Amino acid sequence: MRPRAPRHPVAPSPTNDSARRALAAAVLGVTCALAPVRASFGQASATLDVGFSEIRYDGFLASSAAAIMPGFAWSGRHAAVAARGTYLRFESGNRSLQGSFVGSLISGRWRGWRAEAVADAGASSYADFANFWHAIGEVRLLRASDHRGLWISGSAGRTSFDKDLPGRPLATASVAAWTRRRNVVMLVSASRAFVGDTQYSDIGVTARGQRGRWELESAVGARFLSHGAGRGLYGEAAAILPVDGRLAVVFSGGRYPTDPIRGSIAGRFVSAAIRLRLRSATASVPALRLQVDTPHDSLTSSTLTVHRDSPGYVRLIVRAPEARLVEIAGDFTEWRPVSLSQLSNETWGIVVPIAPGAHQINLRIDGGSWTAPVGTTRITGDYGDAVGTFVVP
Amino acid sequence: MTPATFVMRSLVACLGLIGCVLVFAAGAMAQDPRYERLDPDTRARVSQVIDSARGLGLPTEPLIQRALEGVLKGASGDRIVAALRRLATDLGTARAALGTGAASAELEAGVAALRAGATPPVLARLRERRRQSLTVALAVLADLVARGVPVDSAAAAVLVLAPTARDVDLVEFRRAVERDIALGAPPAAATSVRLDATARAAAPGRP
Repeated sequence: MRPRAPRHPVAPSPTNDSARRALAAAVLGVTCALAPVRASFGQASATLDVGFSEIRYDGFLASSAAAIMPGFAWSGRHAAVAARGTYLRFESGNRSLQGSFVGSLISGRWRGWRAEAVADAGASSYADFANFWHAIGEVRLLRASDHRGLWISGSAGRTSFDKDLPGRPLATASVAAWTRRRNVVMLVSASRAFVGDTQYSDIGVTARGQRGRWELESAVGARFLSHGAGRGLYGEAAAILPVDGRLAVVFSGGRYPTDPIRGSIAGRFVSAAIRLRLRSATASVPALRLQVDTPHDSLTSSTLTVHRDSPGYVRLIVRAPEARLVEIAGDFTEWRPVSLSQLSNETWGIVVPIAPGAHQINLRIDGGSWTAPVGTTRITGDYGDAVGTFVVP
Repeated sequence: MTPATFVMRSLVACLGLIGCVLVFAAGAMAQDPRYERLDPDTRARVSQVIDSARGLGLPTEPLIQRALEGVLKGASGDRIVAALRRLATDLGTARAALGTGAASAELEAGVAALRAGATPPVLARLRERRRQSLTVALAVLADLVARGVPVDSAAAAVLVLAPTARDVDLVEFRRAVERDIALGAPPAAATSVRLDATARAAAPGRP
C-alpha cells in the first residue's frame, strides 16, 4: 500500500473536479467491468484497504494519514480492467483523493507474441489547490512462456496539473522481462519518459513471492538522466498476511520517486492496513468449499461446503444467515428443487448421492432466483443464466 | 428340419427378440416419469433429439438432464430443444476427440472444456497422455480457463500433469492455482508457478 499525494506547487483551484472525474471514471469502470463478469469467463476481485500511514514527502514535514483504498480488478482471456481509489486524510486535516482506471485488450497469440492495448486514465487532488489528471494509451508486445517472458511498450497521452492549465503531452517507452524461479517471480524493467519539458529514465527490479502464509513483494529502482523529475535510488517492500479468505493484514514501507505523469511527489512511508476482500469469483477449495452468491450476499456472504459422507454421498452445508428457505437443484437432483434442513440459526444442510465427475448446481434462497455458487466454475448455461459447476473426484 | 427352415426360424426368432427389446425400451422410455415434466409437444421433440443421439451412440442422460434443467427454469420448448441439439453436437465433438470408448462423464467434462475454449486437438492429446479417466482432468482444464487462465497455458499445464497425476492431485493443483489467483497473481503466472511446484513435489528423491 503506497500512499501518494499530488504535487503541491501548482496554481490554486477552488474545486476538486479532477478527483471527482477520476472517481467517476473509476466507478464507471467498475460498473462496466462488473456487468460482464457474471456473464462471461473471468476472474474478479474487489478489495478495500483501511489503514494508517506515516508519510514524509520530500521537502515537507512528516505527517500521519488515515487511508481508505478501494480496488477492483477483473481479468479474462482477452481483456482486463482495474480501478482503484485512494482517500487520505492527513493529520493536518487536509485530504487527498485519487482515482484511476486501467483497461486492456489482449490479442490472441501469433508466433508466440501477443499484443495488448491499454487505456489508463486517472486524476487526483490534494486539499483544495492541487489537481491532476492523466489519460494515456499504450501498446505492448508480449512474449511469454511458463517460466519467462518479456514485453516492449510505447505510450502516449496527456497529463495536466490543473483544469485551468493546458495539458502536457507525454510519451514513454519501456522494456521489461520477467522470470519465475520456484514460487518467486522477478521482473526487470527499464523505461524512458517525456512529460512536457520533463524527462527521466527508470530502471528497476521487482520480486514477488510467497513464504509460508506471507505474500511478499519488493522493488528497488533507480532514476537517472533526469531533468525535472529527481534522481536517486528507491525501494519499497510489502508483506501481506491472509487471515482468512476475506481478510488480510498488509504492511508496507519504503521510498518511491516522483511520478510526473500521475502527479505524486517523492516520499518515504510506512503503513499498516486491513485488507477486506469484498467479493471474489474464486474459492479456496472448489468442490470442497464453495462461496455461494445469495440474495443476502454482501459483506455477509453465505457459504456452501461440500463434505464427503458415506461412499457415493456428499453432505452439503449452506451458511445462510437470515434465510427462511434454502434450496438447491442440479443434475444430481434431476433438476428438482431440494430443500435443505435447517441445522442451526445460520446453517442448512442435506446429504445427497453425487457420483464422481463434473456436476452442475444452482441455489435459491427464500424462493428468489436461481443463482450460481460463486466459488464454483460459473458458466453461462444453455438457458442464458449462470450455472455453477464443480468436480467430485 | 431342412437348412432353409432352420435359417428361416432363426431369423424369425432374432427379429422377434429384437422387436421385444425395442418394445421394452420404448415402453421403458414412455414410462420414465421424468418425461412427464415436459409438455406433450416438447416431450415429443425432445424424444426425437434423444433418439437421434442414442442412434449415434451418444450418452442420453446428459441430454435428459439438460431438458429437465430447462423445465426447472421455465424455458420454452423451442429453447429446450435447441439446448439439447447444441449439447448433442458438442457431445459428438467431444467423442470424436476423446474416442468412442469415452465414458459419459468424460464426454460431459469434454463438452465443458470445449465450451471453455479448449480445442478438440487438446482433448485428443489428453486422451493420448492419460490412461486414467479424463473426467477430472477435463473439468480442471475448463475451470482454469474459466478462472481467467489463457487456454493455451491451462492446456499446457493439464497436459504436463495428465500422464501421472491422480485425480486428487489435479484437484489440489486447481485449488492452489485458484488460491494464487485469489491472492492477486495473474492467472497464467499462477498456473505456471503451481505447475512447477507440483512437478517438483513429484520429482524422484524429493523428501
